Amino acid sequence: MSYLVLARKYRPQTFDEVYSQDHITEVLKNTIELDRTAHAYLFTGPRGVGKTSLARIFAKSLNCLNGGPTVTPCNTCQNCTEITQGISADVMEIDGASNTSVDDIRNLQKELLYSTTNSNFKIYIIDEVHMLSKNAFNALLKTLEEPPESVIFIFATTEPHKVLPTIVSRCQRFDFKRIPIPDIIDRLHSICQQEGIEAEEEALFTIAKKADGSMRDALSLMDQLLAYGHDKITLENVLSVFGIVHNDVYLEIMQALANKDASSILKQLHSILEKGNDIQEFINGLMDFIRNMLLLKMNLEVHEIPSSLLESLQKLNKKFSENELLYAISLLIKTKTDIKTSSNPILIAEMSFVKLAKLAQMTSIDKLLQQVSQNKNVDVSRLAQQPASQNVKKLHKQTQQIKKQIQEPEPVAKPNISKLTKEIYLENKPALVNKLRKEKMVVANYFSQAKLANIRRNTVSLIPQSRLGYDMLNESKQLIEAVLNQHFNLSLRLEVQKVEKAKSAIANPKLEDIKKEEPGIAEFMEATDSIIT
Amino acid sequence: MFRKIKGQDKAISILKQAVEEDKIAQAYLFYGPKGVGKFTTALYFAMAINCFAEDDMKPCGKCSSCQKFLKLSHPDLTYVFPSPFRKDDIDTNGNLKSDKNDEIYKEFLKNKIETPWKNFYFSSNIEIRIPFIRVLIHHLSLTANEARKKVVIVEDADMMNTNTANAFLKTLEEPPVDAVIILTTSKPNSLLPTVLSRCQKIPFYSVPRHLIEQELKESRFLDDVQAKMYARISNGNMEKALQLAEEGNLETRTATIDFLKIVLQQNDYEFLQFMSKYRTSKNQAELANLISYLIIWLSDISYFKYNPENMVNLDYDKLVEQLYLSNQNVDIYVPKLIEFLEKMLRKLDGHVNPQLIITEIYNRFCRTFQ
Repeated sequence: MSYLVLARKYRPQTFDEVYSQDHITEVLKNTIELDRTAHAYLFTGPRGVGKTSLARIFAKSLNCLNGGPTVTPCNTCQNCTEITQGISADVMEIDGASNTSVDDIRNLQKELLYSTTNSNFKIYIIDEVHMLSKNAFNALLKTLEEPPESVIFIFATTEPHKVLPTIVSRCQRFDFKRIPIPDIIDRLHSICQQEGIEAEEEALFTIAKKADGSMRDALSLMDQLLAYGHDKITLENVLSVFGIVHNDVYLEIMQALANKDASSILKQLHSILEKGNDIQEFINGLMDFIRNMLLLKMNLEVHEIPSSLLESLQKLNKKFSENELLYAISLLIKTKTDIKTSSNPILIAEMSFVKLAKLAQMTSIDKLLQQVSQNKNVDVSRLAQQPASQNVKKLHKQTQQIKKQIQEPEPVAKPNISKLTKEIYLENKPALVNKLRKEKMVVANYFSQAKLANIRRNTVSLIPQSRLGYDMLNESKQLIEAVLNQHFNLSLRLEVQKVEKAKSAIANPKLEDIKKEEPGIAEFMEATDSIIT
Repeated sequence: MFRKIKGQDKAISILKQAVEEDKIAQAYLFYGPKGVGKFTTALYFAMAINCFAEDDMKPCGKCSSCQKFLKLSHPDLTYVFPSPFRKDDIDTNGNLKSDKNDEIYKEFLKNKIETPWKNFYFSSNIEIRIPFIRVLIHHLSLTANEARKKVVIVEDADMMNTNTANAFLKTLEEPPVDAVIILTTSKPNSLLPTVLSRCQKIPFYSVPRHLIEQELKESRFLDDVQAKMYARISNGNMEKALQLAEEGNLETRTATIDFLKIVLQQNDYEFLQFMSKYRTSKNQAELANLISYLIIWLSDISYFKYNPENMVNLDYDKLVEQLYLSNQNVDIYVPKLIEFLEKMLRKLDGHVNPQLIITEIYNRFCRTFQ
């Protein structure tokens, strides 16, 4: 006989072999014993937990020639073997996903009229029933409600929500559970014994965990392992074949993070990738690891980590704050989505890990607020805590003061000079601006921003900040000249120079500029990678 | 023959062993990035199963069976791929009804066999549709003509829509004993979990850079600089590397150099002229290439500082130097710019106006290298 994959070879053939679905097998057994079989069943549940298998076993139990209906089908009589092979005339297994149309249902209904050949029941197993079209479902309704005697329908599906409620209400519904890890391990153990394979306990645990509650997945994974030609299943094999990264590696990475050692993190990352591990899988694992750390920090019990690791985790935990761990996880989540869409996933991963390494350099917002308040002599934190009304009052007071200042400019003594110099101009600039402000607000603003280029004879030449400033000043040249002349009592001329090439250093402040002015904010920007726009 | 596939030793050793021990699973899923040899491996695997050669060097590639597989004309091979053909276009045997479609199909196969590195574009949107799965099921229900095992290769299995995938489930779980089903995909996560759980998964990886370089030098006779550059651009994608080597992407390279020169001069007028080339979305692919070249240039700038031997654009080291001298904070801006360019690539994929993208890039570069 040709090679069969484990999942097919060890398909359960009796009720007892269906693992951890006792709540269903017990009921089905009872219905057989009490002779209370319903005419329609709906089996739902995730992939690989035994829906189709149980449907077949149930069919066998009902039709077994050795004393059927019985809870222990013999698996040797003609009916049983035929059902196993899928060629029984009375047990029809229909692929619901490729026979979706009303016509398929009509054909089925025609067949229903014929009686059974040599069994008790005529059983229709419709797998993947959720794919039937709406019309097909509706065509089935009448039949399903009152099928001919001795006809039994068994529907199996992974997506019960796609089955019409009118169908569901006509069936006995059984929800299959995901298979718990210990049960999968049990099953794997017994299969290993039958196959003559040696296996480490921890290796089987890892397989069971990766299978995520599905027995078929677990067996597929076993198959895959055996395909590598290992005669013994060890933890090492499992890790290398499935690209699972060992906990020690995560431990080292977190340690490096605590030490702000970006280069060693990158080294680790590269060595992991060189071994052929999937980068997504690795990030998932790391996220899991950090999650465990976080749970430990919150004094929750974590069952998923071996006791050997617990101690070192606790030690490691002291080096991180909760916020840091949360930040790390959120960064990793972002990295994961980025990697999915990127054409250069490794690069993205590297960047994020470098960013992670900067974790320690990052200051919390509280500290930052403190720093800012120290620099500016404004107690931001207290300001935030004060009730709003007080703030408003304070603000009001301040604005009043400012208004006063604007309204009543300090009388500036008119300088009595014969020649205007740079110094005098600069000295009097505020007063000039104030005067201009009364005349024309906009011009005053541009005027105050404009730099003095030089003063030659009686010509004052200004350099405005922008093109717009140039236009504005040029337009109201006469006004400004009038103000100047009145103020200095001289006859001056204004010259507006063309704008220099826009200094983007001011329009787009660079990190260095900010560093000079506000080292605290610069640090924050570097750490969070923020940009000023 | 397996030796022709570079950088997939793990996958190949598993498959070889399966053939030797005659432990061939019913369904395989080959998953991994694009253009690393999944389909080719699937084909060679099918050949190895059915090869007539006596010795261990299977597949031989010479016997009649192998020859037929290489031409994709073996009677026991069912090759399913995303195509624009619909239910009405094919009969129950999977033959195309109209001559026009048949011609397109033949052209596709010809491209696949003779120049597999070239992309083939169908005129309408492609998918694996249900009728093809029905044909596949029909083929599987027949006995094999001459092969030891009937082989089904479903390329880009993630292109199956939900209906198709569901229709495939029962067959995938329990195919006839003399059949092997091979699915290939670059997006295993977009497959149904019920499909995934039914297959034995074989991982494929990006081809290491040095292997691509070697391959390019040996089979395409490229010189060092070009091989190095294509290996870098292709990013582990052998198909793309060969494509580049075949078509020669010098045009984009010169465009990149022009672009960088304009940036250094901050010459807005020239940039406007330069940009006009990318006005239409037709040039989307070209712009994508330009961006990947820019990424290489950027990494060259940081190599210039730390490790000049690793530079790719060795023949333009003057330009790199100029760029470096105009802003020496390499450690700060290079990673940021690369991230930015990656983002732009993604936006380009999302059909953002290419002109906007190139302008944005230009602005960002001008700010950096002023």
